[in-house]
Order: sequence, then C-alpha cells, then structure tokens
Amino acid sequence: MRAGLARVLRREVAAWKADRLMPWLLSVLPLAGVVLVLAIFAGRVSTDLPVAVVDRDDSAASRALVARLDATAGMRVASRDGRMADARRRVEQGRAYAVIAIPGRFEADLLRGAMPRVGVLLDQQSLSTANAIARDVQQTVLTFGAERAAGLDLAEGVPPSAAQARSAPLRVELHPLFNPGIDYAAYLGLFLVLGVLHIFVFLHGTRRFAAEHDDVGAAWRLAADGRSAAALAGKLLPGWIWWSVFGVLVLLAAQRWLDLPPMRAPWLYAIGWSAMSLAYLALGGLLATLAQPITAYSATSVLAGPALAFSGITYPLAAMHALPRLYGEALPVTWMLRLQTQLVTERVAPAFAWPTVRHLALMALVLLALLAFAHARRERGR
Amino acid sequence: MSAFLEGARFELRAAWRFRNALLILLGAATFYAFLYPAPYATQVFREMPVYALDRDGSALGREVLARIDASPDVRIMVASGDPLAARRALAAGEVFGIVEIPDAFQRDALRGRSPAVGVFANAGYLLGYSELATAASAAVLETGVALGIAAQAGSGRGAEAMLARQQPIGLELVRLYDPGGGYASFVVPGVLIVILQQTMLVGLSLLCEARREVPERPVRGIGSRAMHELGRAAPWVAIHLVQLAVILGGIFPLYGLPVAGSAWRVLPFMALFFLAVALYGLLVAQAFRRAGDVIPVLLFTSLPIVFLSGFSWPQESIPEPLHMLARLIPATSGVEGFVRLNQRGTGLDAVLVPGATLAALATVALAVLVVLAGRRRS
Repeated sequence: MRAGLARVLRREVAAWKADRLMPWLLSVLPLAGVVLVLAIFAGRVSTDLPVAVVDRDDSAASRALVARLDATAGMRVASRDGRMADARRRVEQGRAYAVIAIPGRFEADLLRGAMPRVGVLLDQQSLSTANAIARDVQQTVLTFGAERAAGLDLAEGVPPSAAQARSAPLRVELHPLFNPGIDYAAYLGLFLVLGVLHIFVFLHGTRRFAAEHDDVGAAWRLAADGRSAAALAGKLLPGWIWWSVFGVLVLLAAQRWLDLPPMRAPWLYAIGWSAMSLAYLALGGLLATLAQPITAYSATSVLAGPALAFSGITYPLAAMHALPRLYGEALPVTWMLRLQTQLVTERVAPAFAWPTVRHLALMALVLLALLAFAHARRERGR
Repeated sequence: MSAFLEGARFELRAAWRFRNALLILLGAATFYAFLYPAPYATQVFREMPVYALDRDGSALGREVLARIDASPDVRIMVASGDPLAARRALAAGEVFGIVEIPDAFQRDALRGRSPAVGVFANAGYLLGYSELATAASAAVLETGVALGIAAQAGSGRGAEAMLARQQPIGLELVRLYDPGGGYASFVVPGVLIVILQQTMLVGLSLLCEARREVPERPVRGIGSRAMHELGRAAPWVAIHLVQLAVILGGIFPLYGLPVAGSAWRVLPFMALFFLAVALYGLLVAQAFRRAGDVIPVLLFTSLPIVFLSGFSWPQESIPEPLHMLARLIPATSGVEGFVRLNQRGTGLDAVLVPGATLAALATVALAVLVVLAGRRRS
C-alpha cells in the first residue's frame, strides 16, 4: 500500500510539472482573481452617489436643504435641473440614481405649517444604491424638519431642551454589529475572495481526474498496485495539501489587507477550509470519474458558477423557497461561508462554530465515499 | 457575400464536430438564466426574525414593538428583558437583530428626555440590516409623531397643524421601474447579460481544437476577410438572439420579473452586443490550444465581471483604472444598455454611449481577427 501510494504521489507531482497550465491554475489566476475582487471594493463604502435635484422654490430654505443633502457622505447633488423631464432623463441615462423634487412654495408652506412634501424618485433598478440614498434623504429631511420645528418652538419661548425633545420625542440608535462602518469590502469582498478560491479548488479536482480519462487509468492503476485507496489518496493528497495551505494563506492575507480584527480561533477556520477543499477535490474527481472531461468541466461550472447566489450571503437562505434553499445547503461552500461569517465577521466563540466545521467534515467524507464507490465501479467495469 | 457564408459554414462545421460545445452555445445561457433567479424567486425577505429586549415593560415600549412587528419585513420572535438570552439568540443565528427598549423608556419620553430605542443588527448581512433599520426607524418615528401630537393637545391647534408642527416636511418616496423593490428584479437582468457573454465566450473557445480540423478555404483581400470573420460570428449572434427571446418570453414571466421595454428596441441593441461578444470570443479562442483548458481559465472571470459591470456595485465606487478595464468588457456596456431599454423602458437615445462602445469594441476585435487571419494564411 505504502509503495503504491508513494508511486502515485510521484506520478501526480510529475503530472503537475508536465501540465503547462498548472502554475496558472494553482497560483497565478487565483491570485489575480483575489486581487481583482479586493481592488473592486478598495473604496470599501459607496460614497458620493450622484442625484439630480429639481428645486421649484429656489428659496433660502430649499437651498439650505439641498446644501444639506449635498453634504451627506453617501450622495452628491450632480445637477440642479429646472424641469422634471431633464432630471428623469439623467436617471434613464444612468447619470443619476435619484431625483429629489422640492415643490414650489416650499419655504412659505414650511413657515405657515402646511407640511410641504419633498418627492424622491429612486432608480429601484439599482436596489442597493436606491436604499442607501433613500436612507440618507430620509434622515436629512427629518433632521432639517426637526430643526425647523425646534426653531419655531424657541421663537415661541419654549426652553431649548424642551424644544429639542418636542421635535424628536423618541429616537433610534442604530448599532451595526460586526461591520460598524457598513464596509462592503469586509462584507462582500471577503466572500468573493473565498468564492474565487473555491472555483479553483473544484476545478483542480476535476482536472486531475479528467487527466486520467484518456489513458483509461491503466498507468494510474498499475502505479497504485491496483489498490483503489492508494490510487485515490495519491491523486488527492498533493492537491489537498496545496489548497489547504495556499488557500488559508491567501484568505488570511486578504483579511489582513482589509484590516479585520484577528479571529478567536484561526485554527478552526483552517480546519474548515481544509475540509471544504477536500470536499470539492472529491466532488471534482467524482464528476470526472462519471463523465467525459468536457462534460465534467461543464458540470463543474454549473455547480461552481452560481454557487454564491445559493449560499445565503447576498440573499438569506431563510428567505428562499425550499428547493433552492436545500440546494444551497447541500453545497460545501455555503457552510464555509457560514464559518467565515461566524469566525471572521461575528467573531463568535469556537463552540458556536464547531457544528459548522463538523458539517463540512461530514460533507468531505460523504463525497470521498461517493468518489471511492464510483472509482471502484469504474475499475470493475474494465 | 460568399466570404460571409463561407465563414458561417466554417463555424457550423467546427461546432458539428464538437457537439459538447454546440450544446453549450445552444442552451447554456437559457439553462443558467432559468437556474440563477431560483434563490431570489421570493424577491423580498419577509418576516425577518428579531429579538425584542424590553427592559421597560411599559405600554409605550410595547406600542413601539407592536409597530415594528406590524412591518411585513420583520417578525418579533421572542420578547424578554434578559440581555444575555438576547445575545445568545443572536450568536446562535436564531435572530438577525435585537430591538432594545431601555429601562425607564416611557418615563423619559413623558419627561421630554427623548429616550432612544436601540437597534442591534448583524451588519454582516447588509440586506437584513437595512430592512430591520428601516422598519425600526419607521416604527419609532410613527410612535414619536403620535406622542408629539398628544403633547400638543392643549395648544389649541387643529389636527393638521399639530401634525405639521411635529413633522414639518413630508417625504414621498417613489420607486421607479421596479415598485416592488424585488431582489431578483434588481440582480437578474444584469447577471443575465454576464451569463450570455460568458457562455458564448466559453462555447466559442471550446471550438479551438475543432476549428483546426476543419479545412479552411483561402479568402483574399481585407474586405473579404472581414466579411469572412463577420460570417463566422453570425450564427452565434442569431442563436443567442433566439435564446434571449426565449429568456424574455419564458423565464422573465416565470419568475415575475418586470419588463418595461419593447422587444423592437431591445433586440437591435442586443444584436450589437452579441456581435461584439462573438468577435471577442473568436479572438479569445485563438489563445487556447486545448478545449480542456477553456473552462478552467475562464470560469472564475464571471464573478469579478459581475461586480465590474456596475449594476450591483456602483461604477462611481470602482477605482478609475478598473473602471477603464470594465469598459473593455462587452458585458459592461451590455448591462447598461439592456437595463435601460428592457427594465427602464427608455428610448434608443439613452443607449447611445453603450451602443457606441460596443460598436468600437466589435470593430477593434474584427480588425485584430482580420490581421490574424491574414498572417495565418501568409
């Protein structure tokens, strides 16, 4: 068994050296993908989103409100249009994400207590920016209104503290836990880094087993002395070691670059990543054992390409219908992303993260067993 | 014309030799377009579980919590005054956030001390955080306005005047193009364009080996060579236009995705997009010697392209060099044009810039293909 395993290992390492694309798939392209993803989110938060303003009043009060809106970090007033049609055209052409319309007689209505209405037309097709702008406009307009009300109270002789309390009898204090700056790089960037790496791990499994397809496994089987365990272990081991080490190093480097606080249990994170890597190497091997190489690659792309959409990161699993949710929960990357959320974002105690790691390990074992079964069946068929 | 037809025939013969690639070119985009919206089919996250940490137990605190619970987006799962239990529920992932009514909340409100309702939400899930923050803010604002109006009861003002005094400026939010604010309606149209681009690039690159096995007739002259290359692109443009029609006519209604544009405006623009991608694909295919290398090299590019194309992460927030890189990818202009024409229902004048960009990309790719074809034949 040992001699067979050693021969398969030597053969596998030699095959890596002979494959001219291997250095690209093992390091250059994964690193390029990771750097690209991190560079996209280098700004970390979205600021200065352009909005168009239609100010039909052009009074001191309306100009003060526009100045307040322009001063928010999230948006900037990109244009002041006289006509609504011009402002809407800016939205249609993608030059503004929203139109803020201040009605005529805004100041006069404000002074006589007639509650003027400010209109906000949001480009809902850009959902995340629309939500951010809606939040900023809402807060700015409410604060502006509350200050005006407090001013009127003061003019009527109400003491300052009472005037302030009357303008805002109750307040909300928002505490964004685990991601206080609403940092997209820490939230989305890190998930995408893991997503990119998981694609390469999966492809590695498929590629290394697909490489044995043409020579019908004879040389591979002979090297392993006909033992399936040695053949599979020798095939999987180099890739597993490489991706376990390289993947963890890249992920930790990305976290460091993002300046995230250290994890409480980095070793647990490494175990989880290693288990996920083994699961995907086995799954890639399984596909290449069951199908022709191009079909196996196609199946790999079907499983890996949209995997993040099903992982519950951008859209929660709890909100999905049963079938996509089950599919998402059957993907090892979903559990690895959950583990990353627990350990990196939420920084929970290891006891809370252990069940996720166990789940990943179980998935790896099941996929290894399926690979062994498929391999043995194919060998019997020869 | 004969060079154009010869080019089309050459591609179809290569595809017939390698039917796996033909299958990808014929149906992969439709398959992905069916698969991809599945997780987002519910469109919005309703009834997000939250923990109500009520440390006051007063009528006013309960009123705020009832208003939060009444929001369709949020559901109060547990209510107690135990902060440790609340933290445990959050750490175990049983709830997405905690709404805290502080001690002496009602008394402070009546004394005019503006007490604050605390909202502790997991901002690691930005969608959930945003929904809880919006629901809680609206509930507290409503309760505060009602409280403020009640406090003015003896002022002699009318109901409208009291409301205006409490809330001097009204705000009316109008959500254009997708009033429901669905997640699938937001993300699927953009991703669809990336899918169409990537499946075509992969399919055309997979034919790299098959093309070498098909005999090629010599084509002389730059004009004829250009027509030959356009002819090679033509079948793939036509096939993808048919797939787009199937997606817009079948998959969009299936998932209830809104469509505001007319097909007569969308299809000509998309034909230009497909032409640019097909010429790019023919160019990219020349970089590969083996079909087995195509998917390993191209698969990972979809993820960054989705975020570079500017529909999910604003273009204003992308660093300038990457912004310029994104302009060289047909999907960026494709997403812009498709979303404007199909989702916003604009006229063709709104897609002049993306259309011109795609035309420029197609021209450059065609020129390179013609030069390479000339070199190959010489």
